[in-house]
Amino acid sequence: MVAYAAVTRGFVVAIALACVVGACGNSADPKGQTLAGIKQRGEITWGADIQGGEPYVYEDPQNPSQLIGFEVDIMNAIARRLGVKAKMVQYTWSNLVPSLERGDFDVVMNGLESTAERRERILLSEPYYVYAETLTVRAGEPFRSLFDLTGKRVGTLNQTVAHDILIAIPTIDVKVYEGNEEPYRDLELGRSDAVLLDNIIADRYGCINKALRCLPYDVARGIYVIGIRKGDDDLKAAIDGALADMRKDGELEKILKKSNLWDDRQTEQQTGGGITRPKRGFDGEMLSQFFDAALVTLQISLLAFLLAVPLGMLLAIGRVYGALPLRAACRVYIEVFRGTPVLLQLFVLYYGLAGFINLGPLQAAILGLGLNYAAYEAEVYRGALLAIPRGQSEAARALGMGPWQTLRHVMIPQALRLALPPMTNDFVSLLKDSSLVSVITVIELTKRMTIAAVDMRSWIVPGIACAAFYLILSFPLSELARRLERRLARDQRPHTL
Amino acid sequence: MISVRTLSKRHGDRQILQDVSADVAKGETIAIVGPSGGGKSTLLRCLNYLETFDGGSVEIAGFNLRPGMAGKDARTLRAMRARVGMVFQQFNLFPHLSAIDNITLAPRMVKREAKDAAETRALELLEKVGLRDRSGAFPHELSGGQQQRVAIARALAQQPEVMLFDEPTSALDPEMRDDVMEVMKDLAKGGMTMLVVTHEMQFAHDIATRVWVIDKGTIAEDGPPSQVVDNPKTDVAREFFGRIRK
Repeated sequence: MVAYAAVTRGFVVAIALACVVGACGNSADPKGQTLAGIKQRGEITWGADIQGGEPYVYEDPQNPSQLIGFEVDIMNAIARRLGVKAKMVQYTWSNLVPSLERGDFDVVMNGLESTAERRERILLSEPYYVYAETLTVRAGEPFRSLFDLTGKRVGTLNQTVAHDILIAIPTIDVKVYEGNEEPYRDLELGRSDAVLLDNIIADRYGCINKALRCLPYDVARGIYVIGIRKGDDDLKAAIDGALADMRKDGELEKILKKSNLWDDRQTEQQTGGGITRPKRGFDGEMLSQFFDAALVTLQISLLAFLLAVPLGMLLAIGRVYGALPLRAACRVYIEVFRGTPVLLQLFVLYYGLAGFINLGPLQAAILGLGLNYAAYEAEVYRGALLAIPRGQSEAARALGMGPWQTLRHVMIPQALRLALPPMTNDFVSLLKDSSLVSVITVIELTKRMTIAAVDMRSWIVPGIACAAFYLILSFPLSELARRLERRLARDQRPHTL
Repeated sequence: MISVRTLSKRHGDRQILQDVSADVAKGETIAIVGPSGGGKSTLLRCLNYLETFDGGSVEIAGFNLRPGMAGKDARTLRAMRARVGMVFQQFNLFPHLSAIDNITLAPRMVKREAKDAAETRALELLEKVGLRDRSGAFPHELSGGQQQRVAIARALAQQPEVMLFDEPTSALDPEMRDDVMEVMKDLAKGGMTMLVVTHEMQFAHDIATRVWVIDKGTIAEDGPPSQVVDNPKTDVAREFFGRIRK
């Protein structure tokens, strides 16, 4: 009966899930029919990421439910000229193109640069903005061009043309960021020597900083375009027509001026789209890059765990045996570190505390993950300490052993034996959580996979390689833990049921 | 060796021990018997301060125990416990240590004995309890009777002046009890001062020099076995021994 009820419940859940998935599923128009669908619905949906911030698409500070920005203005104008309304759909920037291909929205418009790779994958409209790659350095430093930066660290955003330019110069050490502000912050703090990014971003986040200096000439120029699904040539024609009209009747100039974006570059003859990165295969060099990334993952995970275990044990001891203030302090530590996202903790550690302690990205990653996992380990050890029979500590006390001796020689060894299975769990989990440290510019296994996927224009091989490396790392560790368990916990055999 | 004066302990509004007073001379073997829930184990555990008490005092192996020592007199308590051995009903061997390591741990930690010296003596003690050949065995590889004998050797390794036994054979099969009893008998003969909470009438009768019948938190009867076991004066003792004999 119980089993039957469980099965029924499972079935209901499955159906409910299927309904939810079905309801949220994309309602893409048939291939090549997007323009017809737009006209029929009276609405064009466009994908963008408000994390790109001002001036692209962002929440109006006066009215946060309202989106503003020059791309909102341009898209509204295009929609008006098509006789429909425009609706922005929020997506992570690096997933905009795949999501367009999936049919989650009609077009992409969010600082999308015209690159050879993108021209291969999707249709690109005529440009609506001409940007320049601007190099920013610390004020007073002698650097005058990219070629002065041999052996130096240069920051940029992932999957941008600037990134392509930088990795085309092998002597430059490229640091990859996800947000607009962080590259300039690290530059100011001396964690990097220059930042190469679009002039729009440089003007707003870099050049306004008195400690930094933007070099006056453009490293390269490029164009922002609207991304359209392959096969939707009529939609591309319609959008290009609308953009040409806006150029002619001055609406584009008006919109760009409103956001302080109008400059001479917009009217100069363009030479076309920047640098092209050749498509790569999964060759020996990529394998060795994966290998390096796996070593970084292993290094971060091992060192973080080496920090988490003793700290977790101290926290557990404090929480179980400590006097009230200590007990409360340990509890607060555990609740705070367990109750807030590790991503946030990494940000605070690397960027938030940068004024007080200037940690390198690896140090911050190890410290952040170690402090976070200590909270989890503490609870595992607390449970294990409480599971040890009372007679054990009584026997130790009756022999005249002191509290620390009892902990060290009687309680902790037994607690660790009990905690071994959950600890193995946590370590494997940490191995995978270490991918979070890519937000503070560490290139580990998962980050390497996403970079390789862009280079290879495919997720399949890098995905399999990444999974294989994680398994290669985790399996020997669980095997080691299994042997350790068998050796240490000889007497802990399962009870007969 | 031991002097208990008006020892009292309450648990909530339940009086567990009530003004218990008694003396034990060096070399005596006391069998503590009585109905369950009468306070036998509590009394024994108060003697090495594993249990705190609310009133009275205990003098044991030259140490003076009073209420409220638990936190602040930790040093005194540890010194006292190194002189007072204890054996538990559930053996409480350390499962992660071999027999010999179980025995040498406390001497090395508490008395800072050298590893070699501690091990030599541990082997002698294992010899004494008939387990010299099992020195490398872990507790789970030993039978209950063997574990309890290792536990006795562990307590003896601290060279105690007094040994407290809390129902040392209650968790054992009858054939294992004899081995443990044999070891305790030898100890008693060797002049060790012993207090034994037990249900073994044979031990109380043949080995103990004195028997305490404990009921409702007091010593109801105290005397040599020939008197207390064979001719009990109180109703509770009569009833208790009558039930045991059946």
